[in-house]
Amino acid sequence: MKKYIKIVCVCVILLFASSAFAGQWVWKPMSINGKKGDIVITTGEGFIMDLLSMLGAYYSHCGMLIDDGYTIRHNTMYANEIPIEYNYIWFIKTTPKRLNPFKLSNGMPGIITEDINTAYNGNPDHVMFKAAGGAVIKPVDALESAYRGYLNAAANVITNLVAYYRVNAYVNMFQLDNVNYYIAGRGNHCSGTVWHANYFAGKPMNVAYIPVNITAVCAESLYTSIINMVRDDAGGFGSFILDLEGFFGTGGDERIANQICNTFAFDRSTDTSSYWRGRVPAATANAPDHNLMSTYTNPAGHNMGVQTETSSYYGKVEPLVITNGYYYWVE
Amino acid sequence: MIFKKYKTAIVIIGACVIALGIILYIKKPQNGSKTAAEINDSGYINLFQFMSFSDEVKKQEEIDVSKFAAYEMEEANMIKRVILEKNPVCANEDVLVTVVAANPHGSDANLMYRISNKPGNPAILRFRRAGPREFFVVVRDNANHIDFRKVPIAVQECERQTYVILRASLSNLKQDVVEFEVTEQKGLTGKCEYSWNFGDGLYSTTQTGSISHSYARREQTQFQTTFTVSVAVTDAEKKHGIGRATVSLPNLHYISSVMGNPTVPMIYEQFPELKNSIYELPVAMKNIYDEDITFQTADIEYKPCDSSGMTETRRIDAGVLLANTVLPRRGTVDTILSFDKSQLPPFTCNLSIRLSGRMRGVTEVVANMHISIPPSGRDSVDEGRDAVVKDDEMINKLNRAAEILGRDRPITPDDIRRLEKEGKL
Repeated sequence: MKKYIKIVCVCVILLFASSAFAGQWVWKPMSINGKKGDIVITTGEGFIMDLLSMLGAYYSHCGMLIDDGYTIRHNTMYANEIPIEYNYIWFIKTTPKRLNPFKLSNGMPGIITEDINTAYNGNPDHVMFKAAGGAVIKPVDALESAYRGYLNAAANVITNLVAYYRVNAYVNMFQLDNVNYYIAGRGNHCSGTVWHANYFAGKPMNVAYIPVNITAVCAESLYTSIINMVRDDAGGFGSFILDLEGFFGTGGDERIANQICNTFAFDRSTDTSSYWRGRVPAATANAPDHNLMSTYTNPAGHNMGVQTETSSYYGKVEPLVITNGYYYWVE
Repeated sequence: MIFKKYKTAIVIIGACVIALGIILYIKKPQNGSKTAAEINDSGYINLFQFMSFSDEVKKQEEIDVSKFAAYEMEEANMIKRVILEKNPVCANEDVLVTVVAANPHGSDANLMYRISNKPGNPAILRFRRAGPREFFVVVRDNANHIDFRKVPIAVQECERQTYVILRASLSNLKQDVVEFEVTEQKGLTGKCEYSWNFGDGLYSTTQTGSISHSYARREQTQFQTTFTVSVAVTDAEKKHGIGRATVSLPNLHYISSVMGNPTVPMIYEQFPELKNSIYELPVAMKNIYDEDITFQTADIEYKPCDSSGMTETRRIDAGVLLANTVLPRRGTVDTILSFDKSQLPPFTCNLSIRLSGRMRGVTEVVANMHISIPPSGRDSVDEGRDAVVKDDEMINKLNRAAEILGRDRPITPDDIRRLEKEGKL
């Protein structure tokens, strides 16, 4: 009897062993041509891009690699997930009032970590990065080994930063704290977050100053762009508002455009009036292009960068190359 | 007596107070933190943010703006005319907008355009809803001059039999690739045929309303190149409609050369094919310059499958790697890149190749390539990053894809998508 039990046991072990080593599919993740601490910049669509293009910017978003080409950390807001608030007559929902002011002012998810596959190929409503036209900013070859340690330190800082996305940071960038929890009314935008990662790691990079005559045009362009997005259902929060607007004649699209302009310029996210007109202040903030060297001509034909060899470790711009992820079989 | 009566309630309240105290203590900013002073006031708002919202101006860090570099732009009169193909225009109808501009501060070739939300000139715009509308046209030079104009346009509802809406978007995953999709078509019934004109002299016909196209072989003589693309859709009853879109691509290699670092566009697939212990990969090299180029050296980084391992670097003659190393001016050379498997360091999964050469024997020119070699065995798996596929549905798809494509080659998400579209998975 014992003999048979032994045979059965051996058979069972062999069965498990053979199934365990019969081969399997393995996923090799996507990566890009950057190292820990490099800045990844990308172009895109939407009203932020329209706003920045008024400044000659080509890029609309950026983030920082927190390892050698596999994982990126960046500050973003899912604009199409901001709830719409409505007016009520008694308990009956009537007309759209505005976007939720708190969520507009303090954008979520804020600073997040994504693998390259998710950042470039994830949920289409959330993807902020595009390969076409994308680039990686890194030290020049001659200074790579000298600077890499500093960039690693900046990447370690951004890894621990937690904050909201703040559209108002496009006017005043200095509102991010070196903490790992959300603080209402504090945070930054994408390039401001990258700037602060370097700043908290000991490297204050240059900052752009945009005079009033240009910010006024930017605000006007932003307003027009949002109106068009709402009416043409291209912005993610458009059609429902417009349908109601057409029925009740409430001017919901103009209110929301005003609200966004007021939030950008003054963080007045509860204000749906045209308060911003004629009042937009000068801006002290970096767009993604401002992380570039002042000698670099971006694909929009502009020398928009404000960095110099002394203000920044990032002297080289490489076209982005994605090494696609793939499945492979191992025996 | 009272304590005994309300003992449970007092204990619960006491526990809550202690818990709140602990939370507040944990949330307190660390001493010495650079911004502790600012966040002392606001640091606890987060706990109650679900029921609070303040519109007050928050305390900001003081900053001396004058110590930072200023980026000043000047308005200049550059836009001469904005030509609308038609005005008024129907809702959902394509309208071609062309800007006529002149650069008083330099060459007109240096002007850059943005029409509404489209980079480039001309641009196809489309308005979905009727009413008086307006959009911005922005023209900039490559210095600090900018000009803009707000353009009014009347959009009206029309009784139209057919229309086609074409959307063009830059690929998320590939440089120089544009994805086109017919997002809406009205008045066309049954099975349709789609005839594509990509605007670069190339054409295609499909049975579905989506296609991707690579513009990697385009000439690069300016900062951006704009293409006008059209699709003619014909249904079973021979009714047809046309959709148009413009797409503008940045010429990164040209820009790189303007910056003093000329680079050569290389067109190739990610995976080489293994034939008799030799890896081979077809490569197209596009010389976008007015001088002949000869590649002389190749610096190769051999990256191990285990991403935490050490990279090995070698320099070899470019001729050892490429069958053809000479690129005539403005020409495209199709050649084969090959290397011996036995000469790879063990467990190599990625090769970064940097080809270096000269134009007219003087100016240095480079070309970069990134090639993947899938792991060949269990000992090549990157334990830290690679993930074993455990989803049964995915495993079945991969097995079916491997039957069609072969098990020796890697399977990409693109392969899966393509086979799914073809109904083979």
